[in-house]
Amino acid sequence: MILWWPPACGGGTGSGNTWPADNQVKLGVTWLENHVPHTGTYVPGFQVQNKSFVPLPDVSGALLDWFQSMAFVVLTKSVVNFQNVETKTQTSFRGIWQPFNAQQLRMKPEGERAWRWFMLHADTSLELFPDDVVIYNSLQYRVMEKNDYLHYGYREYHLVEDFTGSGP
Amino acid sequence: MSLAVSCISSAVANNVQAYFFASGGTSPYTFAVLVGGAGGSIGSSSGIYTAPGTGVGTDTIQVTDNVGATATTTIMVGNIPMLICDIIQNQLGLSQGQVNLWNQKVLIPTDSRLYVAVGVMNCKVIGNINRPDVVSSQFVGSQSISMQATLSIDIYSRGLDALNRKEELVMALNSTYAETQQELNGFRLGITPTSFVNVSNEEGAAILYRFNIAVNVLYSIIKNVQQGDYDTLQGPNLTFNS
Repeated sequence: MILWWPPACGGGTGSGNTWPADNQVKLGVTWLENHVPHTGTYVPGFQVQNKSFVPLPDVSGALLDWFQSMAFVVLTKSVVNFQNVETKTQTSFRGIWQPFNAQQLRMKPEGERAWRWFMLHADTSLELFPDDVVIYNSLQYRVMEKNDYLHYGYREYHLVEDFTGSGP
Repeated sequence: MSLAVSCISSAVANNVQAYFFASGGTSPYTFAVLVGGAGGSIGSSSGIYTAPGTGVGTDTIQVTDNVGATATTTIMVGNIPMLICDIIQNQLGLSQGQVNLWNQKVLIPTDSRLYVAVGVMNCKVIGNINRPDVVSSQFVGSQSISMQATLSIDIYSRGLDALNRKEELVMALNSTYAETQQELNGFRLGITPTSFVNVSNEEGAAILYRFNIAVNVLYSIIKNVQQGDYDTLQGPNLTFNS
């Protein structure tokens, strides 16, 4: 938890809450937890950054600066004359592509740790679903997990390189 | 009454003929196959459509009446499993995409509608006849093969449809339309098993209801051949005694 006390904070009252005295500053966290309702509202004069108090903001603005321009070919499946037909669609978006770190790989079950896992954070214009197949830089990947942080301005995907070459 | 064109079958096998009928408008009617389809042909006045000898696809049939009005309809050209898909789709009133051929890439439903997958479990050759012939010093002939295939048909849904409507699958295979298609296209469905195998646990909670039946089908394929089809018979010194 991070607290910014108002410069003149020395105890007092405001908005129905009793402010802590100077000797209570070090105990500010406990004081806040006891006095601030967990509704995401702020105590006047205080700024509190904590998930239990405030929601995660929409970080899309910051992420867009961090993201790079990317392009996928998405393989989608449909039925034509009772036969499954795959079509390729080019899609452009902004995102960050990075391999799993060692800790993420250790969390995978034995047998899957040797797979080539990647993590993608992408803007909300891209929407994939688990088991979707995409082609990126001439290699084929399968979406294994989707974490939807739509309200915060991005989505996170876990993909694995698909050596089979088979479609969705 | 507005001009319309129709056919008793919505799908036929290769080389099969089907009759198209026009109604409404002003007679006489002229039939035509629009370009870019499966490659079949149609008699311009008779309305007799002949499916192409090979390949699958969809042909669009257009009828034009005496005052230039037009109407179109489509006919699918497919193999025997595709024709059985057509019977199921037709009789169960399903939409395009709800019936598909199982090729290890079954379409996983994303809604609660009913889906049917038709796959070939195995097939056995029960007859193979080669009938070579010579006409006007040219080699011609035909070869036919008769097969017995066992089809594995899955009916599944995330909702209750597969549980409630699985019996309709058997009724579809024994329907009048199924009989018509068997007569027209040269195949015969075997005695439909009365037992549905409940394979609902295959997909776990993702697909709650899934049942399977196995159906035998007998069918024949006939291929007309010419000299060029046989590499061993090609050559300048080859002669035939007719």
